[in-house]
Amino acid sequence: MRQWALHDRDGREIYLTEEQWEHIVSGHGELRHHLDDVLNTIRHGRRRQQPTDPNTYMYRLRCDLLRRPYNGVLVVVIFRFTQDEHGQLTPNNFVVTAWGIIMR
Amino acid sequence: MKIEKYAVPLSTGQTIQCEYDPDGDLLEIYFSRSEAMAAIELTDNMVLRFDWENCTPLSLSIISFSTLLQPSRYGAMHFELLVEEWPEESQEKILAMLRKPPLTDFLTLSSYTPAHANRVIPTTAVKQIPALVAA
Repeated sequence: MRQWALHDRDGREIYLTEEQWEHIVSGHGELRHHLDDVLNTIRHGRRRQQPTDPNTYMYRLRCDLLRRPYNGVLVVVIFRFTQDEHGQLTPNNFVVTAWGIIMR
Repeated sequence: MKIEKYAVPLSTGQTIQCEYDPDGDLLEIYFSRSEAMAAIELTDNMVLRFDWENCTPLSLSIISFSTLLQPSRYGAMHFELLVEEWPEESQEKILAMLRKPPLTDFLTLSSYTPAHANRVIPTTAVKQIPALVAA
């Protein structure tokens, strides 16, 4: 299965699977045809930590390419670690979902 | 990718569908499957999608949902409504939606006034949803 791997503005690697992307656009149709804008939100957006889960962050970025009145993209990313067969921990940071939003 | 689906009865008699993604700990409550015409960050952990013209909610997404089900020493956790981040022309529409079903089946509206502050902070809390707690 295809996936996109990229880095946020502080160099953290984050990935989005094609399966997750299909699920996102099936529920949030405003982002259909805007994969690049979602990826750009992770690359360049500012992130905010979730109040109840320190491993979950929201990335947001203004985007004027969406249909009106949407003018921004919001992406949820979870930061975790996975352990390989040698006991080494490796980052496992993935996109959960995304929305087109109206920002002020 | 595993999505769990639940039917939830509303106070209006209607039954709606919720989808829970256990890997992402994301709950999406769908009031209607219509294409949303607007969406805002309701709080730091909730997104509301709605029909701009008719002012009807289409879905409510709650991030890190399982953390809200854990017992809290001081009762339900309240989150600040990000009113100042909503477009001015939508603020009254959104607050009106929050004051009536179906959103009142899931959220309570309240406010907090810190000492020495000259403003009221609007907040919301997620109600216990029996169909989801049991699951």
